[in-house]
Amino acid sequence: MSDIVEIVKGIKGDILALAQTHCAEFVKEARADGEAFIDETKDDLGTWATLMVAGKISPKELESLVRGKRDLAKMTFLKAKGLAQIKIDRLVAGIIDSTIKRITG
Amino acid sequence: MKGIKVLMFGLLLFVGGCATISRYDQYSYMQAVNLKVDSLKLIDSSGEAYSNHKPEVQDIKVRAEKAYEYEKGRPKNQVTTDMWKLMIDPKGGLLGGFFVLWEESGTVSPAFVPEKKKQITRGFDEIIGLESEKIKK
Repeated sequence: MSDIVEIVKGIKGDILALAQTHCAEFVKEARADGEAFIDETKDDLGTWATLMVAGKISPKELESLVRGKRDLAKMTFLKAKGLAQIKIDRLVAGIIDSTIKRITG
Repeated sequence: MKGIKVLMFGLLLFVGGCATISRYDQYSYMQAVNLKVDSLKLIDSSGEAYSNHKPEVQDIKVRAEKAYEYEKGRPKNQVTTDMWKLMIDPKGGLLGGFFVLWEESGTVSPAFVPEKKKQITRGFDEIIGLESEKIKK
């Protein structure tokens, strides 16, 4: 019985360590991506407005670029969601590996 | 003790089978890379009349539709499917919407081409980037 208590204690420690590594990385990356996207959007809108005023792009083209930006924001969100799912799967795989190691000793 | 270990192994096998997202797929990856390269090459010609490039546009459209359908059919692949849906949406601002604009306008402005190319490149890169991050079998 004391073996099991030790195994569970060890697994708990492994899970916490794995979760901390994966989550901290993900939050940091997602925040950086979001901030970069907002900065980029401000610059792009300025550039496109200037191009339209100068007659170099049509209002329809400006509209298409704005719609493209909106769709890219959704894409970035979806990618972040997918990456989070991948991290969860990696975390589970890591937990399974460490648990097997502890059981097989 | 042995019984508990067997039970834990069984539990691990069950949990291990419950992935939240599809695994890496070489065909999906290649399909996205090929479509990216061919689409961007075609966009370079969009300063010319749409009518001169209609067959190439149709070819890309059909291949992109097939890519979407392929992704839709893969289990646990909602995120990638949604990304492709955005890419090919004719009312959107990426590949599908670009083709509609080109067709309706006849040609597009030279200053518009590099800006739209950047967006479509980025869209494909998000799809390709996610696929390449997926866990390999």
